[in-house]
Amino acid sequence: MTRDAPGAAEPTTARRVDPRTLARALQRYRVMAWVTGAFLLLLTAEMVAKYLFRGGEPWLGTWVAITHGWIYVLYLLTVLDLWSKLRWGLGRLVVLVLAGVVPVLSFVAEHRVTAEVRARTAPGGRP
Amino acid sequence: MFRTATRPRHLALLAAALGLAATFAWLGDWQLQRSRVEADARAAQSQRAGQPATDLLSVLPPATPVTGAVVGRTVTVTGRYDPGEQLLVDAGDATWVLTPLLVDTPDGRARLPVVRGATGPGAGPADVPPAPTGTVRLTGRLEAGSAPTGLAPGADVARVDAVSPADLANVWGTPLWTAYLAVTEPVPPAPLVALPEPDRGGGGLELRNLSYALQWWVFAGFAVFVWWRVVAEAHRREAQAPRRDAEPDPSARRPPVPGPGAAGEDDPVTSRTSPAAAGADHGAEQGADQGGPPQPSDAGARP
Repeated sequence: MTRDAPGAAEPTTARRVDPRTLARALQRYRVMAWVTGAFLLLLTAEMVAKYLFRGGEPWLGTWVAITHGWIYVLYLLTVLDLWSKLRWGLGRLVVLVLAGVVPVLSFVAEHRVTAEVRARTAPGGRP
Repeated sequence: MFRTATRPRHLALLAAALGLAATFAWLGDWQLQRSRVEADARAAQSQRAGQPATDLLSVLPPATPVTGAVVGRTVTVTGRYDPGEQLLVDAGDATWVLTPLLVDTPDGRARLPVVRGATGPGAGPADVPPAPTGTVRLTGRLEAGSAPTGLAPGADVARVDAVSPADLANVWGTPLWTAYLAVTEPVPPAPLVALPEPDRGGGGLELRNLSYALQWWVFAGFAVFVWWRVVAEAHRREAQAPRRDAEPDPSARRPPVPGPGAAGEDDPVTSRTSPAAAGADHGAEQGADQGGPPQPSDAGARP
Protein backbone atom coordinates (compact mmCIF):
# COMPACT_ATOMS: atom_id res chain seq x y z
CA MET A 1 0.00 0.00 0.00
CA THR A 2 1.31 3.43 -0.83
CA ARG A 3 1.71 6.06 1.78
CA ASP A 4 -1.10 8.57 2.11
CA ALA A 5 -0.54 11.84 0.38
CA PRO A 6 0.13 14.77 2.68
CA GLY A 7 -3.13 16.16 3.89
CA ALA A 8 -4.95 12.83 3.81
CA ALA A 9 -7.90 13.32 6.06
CA GLU A 10 -7.87 10.62 8.67
CA PRO A 11 -4.87 8.92 10.13
CA THR A 12 -5.48 5.29 10.91
CA THR A 13 -5.62 5.84 14.58
CA ALA A 14 -8.59 3.61 15.21
CA ARG A 15 -6.29 0.62 15.10
CA ARG A 16 -4.61 1.64 18.24
CA VAL A 17 -7.69 0.83 20.29
CA ASP A 18 -7.74 -2.78 21.37
CA PRO A 19 -10.07 -4.53 18.89
CA ARG A 20 -11.84 -6.34 21.70
CA THR A 21 -12.52 -3.06 23.51
CA LEU A 22 -13.80 -1.62 20.28
CA ALA A 23 -15.99 -4.66 19.65
CA ARG A 24 -17.54 -4.32 23.10
CA ALA A 25 -18.19 -0.60 22.59
CA LEU A 26 -19.78 -1.42 19.25
CA GLN A 27 -21.95 -4.09 20.83
CA ARG A 28 -23.14 -1.72 23.56
CA TYR A 29 -23.96 0.89 20.95
CA ARG A 30 -25.85 -1.62 18.82
CA VAL A 31 -27.99 -2.81 21.73
CA MET A 32 -28.85 0.75 22.72
CA ALA A 33 -29.53 1.76 19.11
CA TRP A 34 -32.14 -0.97 18.88
CA VAL A 35 -33.68 -0.33 22.28
CA THR A 36 -33.80 3.42 21.60
CA GLY A 37 -35.27 2.87 18.15
CA ALA A 38 -37.94 0.54 19.50
CA PHE A 39 -38.88 2.90 22.32
CA LEU A 40 -38.98 5.82 19.93
CA LEU A 41 -41.51 3.96 17.79
CA LEU A 42 -43.54 3.25 20.92
CA LEU A 43 -43.35 6.92 21.91
CA THR A 44 -44.43 7.96 18.42
CA ALA A 45 -47.42 5.61 18.66
CA GLU A 46 -48.24 7.03 22.09
CA MET A 47 -48.12 10.62 20.77
CA VAL A 48 -50.29 9.78 17.77
CA ALA A 49 -52.82 7.98 19.97
CA LYS A 50 -52.79 10.69 22.61
CA TYR A 51 -53.14 13.77 20.44
CA LEU A 52 -54.92 12.47 17.34
CA PHE A 53 -57.32 9.91 18.77
CA ARG A 54 -57.72 10.54 22.47
CA GLY A 55 -57.91 14.31 22.67
CA GLY A 56 -54.84 14.66 24.88
CA GLU A 57 -55.56 11.73 27.18
CA PRO A 58 -52.51 9.48 27.63
CA TRP A 59 -52.83 6.06 26.05
CA LEU A 60 -50.14 3.85 27.53
CA GLY A 61 -49.11 6.51 30.02
CA THR A 62 -46.46 9.12 30.61
CA TRP A 63 -43.99 6.40 31.57
CA VAL A 64 -43.32 5.89 27.85
CA ALA A 65 -41.97 9.43 27.49
CA ILE A 66 -40.02 9.26 30.73
CA THR A 67 -38.46 5.90 29.94
CA HIS A 68 -37.58 6.94 26.41
CA GLY A 69 -35.80 9.99 27.80
CA TRP A 70 -33.52 7.97 30.04
CA ILE A 71 -32.94 5.29 27.43
CA TYR A 72 -31.84 8.06 25.08
CA VAL A 73 -29.35 9.25 27.70
CA LEU A 74 -27.89 5.73 27.86
CA TYR A 75 -27.84 5.60 24.07
CA LEU A 76 -25.88 8.86 23.94
CA LEU A 77 -23.37 7.45 26.42
CA THR A 78 -22.71 4.47 24.15
CA VAL A 79 -22.52 6.79 21.12
CA LEU A 80 -19.98 9.06 22.82
CA ASP A 81 -17.94 6.06 23.89
CA LEU A 82 -17.85 4.52 20.43
CA TRP A 83 -17.26 7.87 18.75
CA SER A 84 -14.31 8.57 21.05
CA LYS A 85 -12.78 5.17 20.46
CA LEU A 86 -13.10 5.41 16.69
CA ARG A 87 -11.87 9.02 16.72
CA TRP A 88 -14.54 10.05 14.31
CA GLY A 89 -15.35 13.62 13.36
CA LEU A 90 -18.10 15.86 14.69
CA GLY A 91 -20.34 15.32 11.67
CA ARG A 92 -20.78 11.65 12.46
CA LEU A 93 -21.49 12.45 16.07
CA VAL A 94 -24.29 14.79 15.05
CA VAL A 95 -25.80 12.09 12.82
CA LEU A 96 -25.67 9.51 15.60
CA VAL A 97 -27.13 11.93 18.14
CA LEU A 98 -30.02 12.75 15.80
CA ALA A 99 -30.50 9.08 14.96
CA GLY A 100 -31.81 8.57 18.47
CA VAL A 101 -34.67 11.04 18.08
CA VAL A 102 -35.76 10.56 14.46
CA PRO A 103 -37.99 7.47 14.18
CA VAL A 104 -36.37 4.53 12.34
CA LEU A 105 -33.11 6.42 11.70
CA SER A 106 -31.34 4.66 14.57
CA PHE A 107 -31.80 1.28 12.85
CA VAL A 108 -30.31 2.61 9.60
CA ALA A 109 -27.42 4.28 11.41
CA GLU A 110 -26.74 1.14 13.44
CA HIS A 111 -26.54 -0.91 10.26
CA ARG A 112 -24.06 1.43 8.61
CA VAL A 113 -21.91 1.95 11.68
CA THR A 114 -21.62 -1.78 12.26
CA ALA A 115 -20.67 -2.43 8.64
CA GLU A 116 -18.06 0.29 8.71
CA VAL A 117 -16.48 -0.67 11.99
CA ARG A 118 -16.31 -4.30 10.93
CA ALA A 119 -14.68 -3.37 7.65
CA ARG A 120 -12.12 -1.37 9.55
CA THR A 121 -11.28 -3.97 12.11
CA ALA A 122 -11.35 -6.89 9.71
CA PRO A 123 -7.98 -8.64 9.30
CA GLY A 124 -7.68 -7.28 5.77
CA GLY A 125 -7.56 -3.74 7.05
CA ARG A 126 -9.27 -0.69 5.77
CA PRO A 127 -10.03 -0.82 2.07
CA MET B 1 -2.60 20.60 25.77
CA PHE B 2 -3.35 24.21 26.62
CA ARG B 3 -1.92 25.37 23.31
CA THR B 4 -4.06 22.89 21.44
CA ALA B 5 -7.12 24.00 23.38
CA THR B 6 -6.54 27.67 22.63
CA ARG B 7 -6.22 27.34 18.87
CA PRO B 8 -8.92 29.47 17.16
CA ARG B 9 -10.74 26.42 15.86
CA HIS B 10 -10.97 24.91 19.32
CA LEU B 11 -11.90 28.21 20.92
CA ALA B 12 -14.72 28.52 18.42
CA LEU B 13 -15.76 24.97 19.22
CA LEU B 14 -15.60 25.78 22.91
CA ALA B 15 -17.88 28.76 22.38
CA ALA B 16 -20.30 26.53 20.48
CA ALA B 17 -20.15 23.82 23.14
CA LEU B 18 -20.72 26.30 25.96
CA GLY B 19 -23.55 27.94 24.03
CA LEU B 20 -25.14 24.54 23.52
CA ALA B 21 -24.61 23.64 27.17
CA ALA B 22 -26.13 26.94 28.30
CA THR B 23 -29.15 26.37 26.06
CA PHE B 24 -29.58 22.85 27.42
CA ALA B 25 -29.24 24.08 31.00
CA TRP B 26 -31.83 26.75 30.32
CA LEU B 27 -34.19 24.15 28.82
CA GLY B 28 -33.66 22.02 31.91
CA ASP B 29 -34.54 24.96 34.11
CA TRP B 30 -37.64 25.63 32.04
CA GLN B 31 -38.75 22.02 32.46
CA LEU B 32 -38.13 22.24 36.19
CA GLN B 33 -40.34 25.31 36.40
CA ARG B 34 -43.03 23.62 34.39
CA SER B 35 -42.78 20.66 36.69
CA ARG B 36 -43.33 22.95 39.66
CA VAL B 37 -46.20 24.81 38.02
CA GLU B 38 -47.95 21.55 37.14
CA ALA B 39 -47.50 20.19 40.63
CA ASP B 40 -48.77 23.41 42.19
CA ALA B 41 -51.77 23.54 39.88
CA ARG B 42 -52.76 20.02 40.79
CA ALA B 43 -52.29 20.60 44.47
CA ALA B 44 -54.37 23.77 44.21
CA GLN B 45 -57.15 21.96 42.34
CA SER B 46 -57.29 19.25 44.97
CA GLN B 47 -57.45 21.91 47.64
CA ARG B 48 -60.23 23.77 45.85
CA ALA B 49 -62.34 20.65 45.82
CA GLY B 50 -62.57 20.95 49.60
CA GLN B 51 -63.76 24.55 49.53
CA PRO B 52 -67.39 25.43 50.27
CA ALA B 53 -69.68 25.38 47.28
CA THR B 54 -70.19 28.65 45.44
CA ASP B 55 -72.73 29.65 42.83
CA LEU B 56 -71.68 28.54 39.36
CA LEU B 57 -72.57 31.86 37.73
CA SER B 58 -70.24 33.77 40.03
CA VAL B 59 -67.37 31.37 39.29
CA LEU B 60 -67.73 30.78 35.57
CA PRO B 61 -70.24 32.41 33.22
CA PRO B 62 -71.32 30.44 30.13
CA ALA B 63 -69.07 30.45 27.06
CA THR B 64 -66.08 31.55 29.12
CA PRO B 65 -62.74 29.80 28.76
CA VAL B 66 -61.98 27.46 31.63
CA THR B 67 -58.87 28.37 33.60
CA GLY B 68 -56.97 26.17 35.99
CA ALA B 69 -58.33 28.34 38.80
CA VAL B 70 -61.87 26.98 38.43
CA VAL B 71 -61.15 23.33 37.70
CA GLY B 72 -62.00 21.24 40.73
CA ARG B 73 -64.17 23.96 42.33
CA THR B 74 -67.35 22.79 44.03
CA VAL B 75 -70.29 24.77 42.69
CA THR B 76 -74.07 24.81 42.92
CA VAL B 77 -76.42 25.44 40.04
CA THR B 78 -80.17 25.47 39.51
CA GLY B 79 -81.81 24.48 36.26
CA ARG B 80 -83.87 21.95 34.34
CA TYR B 81 -82.57 18.80 32.62
CA ASP B 82 -83.21 18.37 28.92
CA PRO B 83 -83.50 14.54 28.79
CA GLY B 84 -84.09 14.48 25.04
CA GLU B 85 -80.49 15.60 24.44
CA GLN B 86 -78.90 13.06 26.78
CA LEU B 87 -75.71 11.33 25.61
CA LEU B 88 -73.72 8.38 26.90
CA VAL B 89 -69.95 8.79 27.16
CA ASP B 90 -67.66 5.82 26.65
CA ALA B 91 -65.07 6.75 29.25
CA GLY B 92 -62.81 3.75 29.16
CA ASP B 93 -63.81 1.46 32.01
CA ALA B 94 -67.11 3.24 32.64
CA THR B 95 -70.10 4.79 30.92
CA TRP B 96 -70.98 8.34 31.92
CA VAL B 97 -74.45 9.79 31.63
CA LEU B 98 -74.19 13.26 30.14
CA THR B 99 -77.31 15.40 30.21
CA PRO B 100 -77.58 19.11 29.40
CA LEU B 101 -78.95 21.29 32.18
CA LEU B 102 -80.84 24.35 30.99
CA VAL B 103 -79.79 27.25 33.19
CA ASP B 104 -81.31 30.71 33.17
CA THR B 105 -78.62 33.35 33.30
CA PRO B 106 -78.89 37.15 33.19
CA ASP B 107 -77.96 36.91 29.51
CA GLY B 108 -80.51 34.26 28.63
CA ARG B 109 -80.72 30.50 28.77
CA ALA B 110 -77.52 28.44 28.45
CA ARG B 111 -76.66 24.75 28.59
CA LEU B 112 -74.37 23.21 31.18
CA PRO B 113 -73.01 19.71 30.41
CA VAL B 114 -73.77 17.64 33.50
CA VAL B 115 -72.39 14.18 34.15
CA ARG B 116 -75.17 12.73 36.29
CA GLY B 117 -73.10 9.71 37.21
CA ALA B 118 -71.12 6.75 35.95
CA THR B 119 -72.02 3.11 35.47
CA GLY B 120 -70.38 0.04 33.97
CA PRO B 121 -68.84 0.00 30.49
CA GLY B 122 -71.14 -0.66 27.58
CA ALA B 123 -74.31 0.47 29.36
CA GLY B 124 -77.13 1.46 27.02
CA PRO B 125 -79.83 4.13 27.34
CA ALA B 126 -82.17 1.57 28.95
CA ASP B 127 -79.64 0.86 31.72
CA VAL B 128 -79.60 4.36 33.15
CA PRO B 129 -82.27 6.01 35.29
CA PRO B 130 -84.10 8.90 33.64
CA ALA B 131 -83.15 12.45 34.47
CA PRO B 132 -85.27 14.12 37.15
CA THR B 133 -87.95 16.40 35.77
CA GLY B 134 -88.65 19.94 36.88
CA THR B 135 -86.26 22.37 38.46
CA VAL B 136 -83.30 20.78 40.22
CA ARG B 137 -80.59 22.22 42.39
CA LEU B 138 -77.27 20.44 41.88
CA THR B 139 -73.94 20.49 43.65
CA GLY B 140 -70.88 19.15 41.91
CA ARG B 141 -67.34 19.59 40.77
CA LEU B 142 -66.36 21.70 37.80
CA GLU B 143 -64.12 19.81 35.39
CA ALA B 144 -62.39 20.95 32.22
CA GLY B 145 -63.71 19.31 29.07
CA SER B 146 -61.63 17.40 26.56
CA ALA B 147 -60.41 18.56 23.18
CA PRO B 148 -62.80 18.12 20.24
CA THR B 149 -62.99 14.64 18.74
CA GLY B 150 -64.48 15.85 15.48
CA LEU B 151 -68.28 15.57 15.67
CA ALA B 152 -69.92 17.24 12.72
CA PRO B 153 -72.49 20.00 13.34
CA GLY B 154 -75.97 18.54 13.74
CA ALA B 155 -74.62 15.00 13.93
CA ASP B 156 -77.13 12.49 15.24
CA VAL B 157 -75.22 10.86 18.04
CA ALA B 158 -76.14 8.93 21.13
CA ARG B 159 -72.66 8.02 22.30
CA VAL B 160 -69.47 10.05 22.43
CA ASP B 161 -65.91 9.25 23.50
CA ALA B 162 -65.29 12.26 25.70
CA VAL B 163 -66.98 15.26 27.24
CA SER B 164 -65.87 17.84 24.74
CA PRO B 165 -67.65 21.21 24.93
CA ALA B 166 -66.54 22.00 21.38
CA ASP B 167 -68.26 18.84 20.13
CA LEU B 168 -71.29 19.39 22.34
CA ALA B 169 -71.75 22.88 20.92
CA ASN B 170 -72.27 21.20 17.55
CA VAL B 171 -74.83 18.76 18.95
CA TRP B 172 -76.64 20.85 21.53
CA GLY B 173 -76.10 24.35 20.20
CA THR B 174 -74.93 27.41 22.08
CA PRO B 175 -74.57 29.21 24.46
CA LEU B 176 -72.81 26.49 26.36
CA TRP B 177 -70.49 26.25 29.32
CA THR B 178 -66.99 25.19 28.42
CA ALA B 179 -66.63 23.17 31.62
CA TYR B 180 -68.83 20.34 32.80
CA LEU B 181 -70.33 19.52 36.17
CA ALA B 182 -69.72 16.18 37.87
CA VAL B 183 -72.71 15.87 40.16
CA THR B 184 -72.06 14.97 43.79
CA GLU B 185 -75.41 16.07 45.30
CA PRO B 186 -78.06 14.86 45.11
CA VAL B 187 -76.26 11.53 45.22
CA PRO B 188 -76.74 9.82 41.85
CA PRO B 189 -79.42 7.08 41.98
CA ALA B 190 -78.31 3.44 41.56
CA PRO B 191 -76.84 2.03 39.43
CA LEU B 192 -75.17 5.38 38.85
CA VAL B 193 -72.30 6.48 41.06
CA ALA B 194 -70.79 9.93 41.38
CA LEU B 195 -67.79 10.52 39.15
CA PRO B 196 -64.65 9.90 41.19
CA GLU B 197 -62.37 12.89 41.47
CA PRO B 198 -59.57 12.57 38.91
CA ASP B 199 -56.12 11.94 40.28
CA ARG B 200 -54.58 15.39 40.38
CA GLY B 201 -52.01 14.80 43.05
CA GLY B 202 -49.53 12.20 42.00
CA GLY B 203 -47.25 11.04 39.28
CA GLY B 204 -47.55 11.79 35.59
CA LEU B 205 -46.65 15.16 34.35
CA GLU B 206 -44.57 16.58 37.17
CA LEU B 207 -42.38 13.52 37.15
CA ARG B 208 -42.06 13.75 33.40
CA ASN B 209 -41.00 17.39 33.43
CA LEU B 210 -38.58 16.78 36.27
CA SER B 211 -37.13 13.89 34.31
CA TYR B 212 -36.77 16.06 31.19
CA ALA B 213 -35.05 18.74 33.28
CA LEU B 214 -32.43 16.28 34.52
CA GLN B 215 -31.90 14.97 31.00
CA TRP B 216 -31.26 18.44 29.60
CA TRP B 217 -28.57 18.98 32.22
CA VAL B 218 -26.96 15.68 31.34
CA PHE B 219 -26.95 16.79 27.67
CA ALA B 220 -25.27 20.05 28.70
CA GLY B 221 -22.49 17.99 30.27
CA PHE B 222 -22.23 15.91 27.09
CA ALA B 223 -21.68 19.05 24.97
CA VAL B 224 -18.70 20.07 27.07
CA PHE B 225 -17.37 16.51 27.06
CA VAL B 226 -17.47 16.42 23.26
CA TRP B 227 -15.42 19.62 23.06
CA TRP B 228 -12.86 18.14 25.44
CA ARG B 229 -12.66 14.96 23.35
CA VAL B 230 -12.06 16.96 20.15
CA VAL B 231 -9.22 18.90 21.80
CA ALA B 232 -7.71 15.79 23.34
CA GLU B 233 -7.76 14.03 20.00
CA ALA B 234 -6.14 16.98 18.22
CA HIS B 235 -3.55 17.16 20.95
CA ARG B 236 -2.82 13.47 20.66
CA ARG B 237 -2.27 13.80 16.93
CA GLU B 238 0.09 16.70 17.42
CA ALA B 239 1.93 14.87 20.12
CA GLN B 240 2.36 11.90 17.82
CA ALA B 241 4.29 13.94 15.34
CA PRO B 242 7.94 13.25 16.10
CA ARG B 243 9.07 16.80 16.69
CA ARG B 244 9.33 16.66 20.44
CA ASP B 245 12.46 17.50 22.33
CA ALA B 246 12.07 14.16 23.99
CA GLU B 247 12.67 12.36 20.71
CA PRO B 248 15.96 10.53 20.84
CA ASP B 249 16.41 10.52 17.07
CA PRO B 250 18.25 13.71 16.07
CA SER B 251 17.01 13.63 12.49
CA ALA B 252 13.46 13.80 13.77
CA ARG B 253 14.16 16.96 15.74
CA ARG B 254 13.15 20.08 14.01
CA PRO B 255 12.08 23.54 15.14
CA PRO B 256 8.64 23.44 16.65
CA VAL B 257 5.91 24.58 14.36
CA PRO B 258 5.04 28.11 15.40
CA GLY B 259 1.66 28.25 17.03
CA PRO B 260 0.08 31.13 15.09
CA GLY B 261 1.25 29.73 11.76
CA ALA B 262 -0.33 26.37 12.29
CA ALA B 263 -3.28 27.75 14.15
CA GLY B 264 -6.67 26.66 13.04
CA GLU B 265 -5.67 23.43 11.38
CA ASP B 266 -4.45 20.22 12.87
CA ASP B 267 -4.02 18.26 9.73
CA PRO B 268 -1.21 20.35 8.20
CA VAL B 269 0.82 19.72 11.30
CA THR B 270 0.33 16.03 11.08
CA SER B 271 0.85 15.72 7.38
CA ARG B 272 3.83 18.03 7.29
CA THR B 273 5.69 15.92 9.73
CA SER B 274 4.73 12.61 8.21
CA PRO B 275 7.34 12.47 5.45
CA ALA B 276 10.02 13.55 7.88
CA ALA B 277 9.04 10.78 10.19
CA ALA B 278 9.18 8.28 7.39
CA GLY B 279 12.67 9.48 6.54
CA ALA B 280 13.71 9.14 10.10
CA ASP B 281 12.65 5.55 9.96
CA HIS B 282 10.75 6.08 13.15
CA GLY B 283 7.93 3.64 13.61
CA ALA B 284 8.26 2.79 9.94
CA GLU B 285 6.99 -0.73 10.26
CA GLN B 286 3.75 0.60 11.69
CA GLY B 287 3.43 3.57 9.44
CA ALA B 288 4.32 1.79 6.25
CA ASP B 289 1.56 -0.74 6.18
CA GLN B 290 -1.08 1.43 7.71
CA GLY B 291 -0.70 4.23 5.24
CA GLY B 292 -0.88 6.92 7.90
CA PRO B 293 1.49 8.96 9.99
CA PRO B 294 3.76 6.93 12.22
CA GLN B 295 2.61 6.27 15.71
CA PRO B 296 5.30 6.19 18.31
CA SER B 297 4.29 4.98 21.71
CA ASP B 298 2.44 7.49 23.79
CA ALA B 299 4.77 7.16 26.72
CA GLY B 300 7.39 9.68 25.70
CA ALA B 301 5.26 11.79 23.47
CA ARG B 302 2.73 13.07 25.93
CA PRO B 303 3.84 15.90 28.14
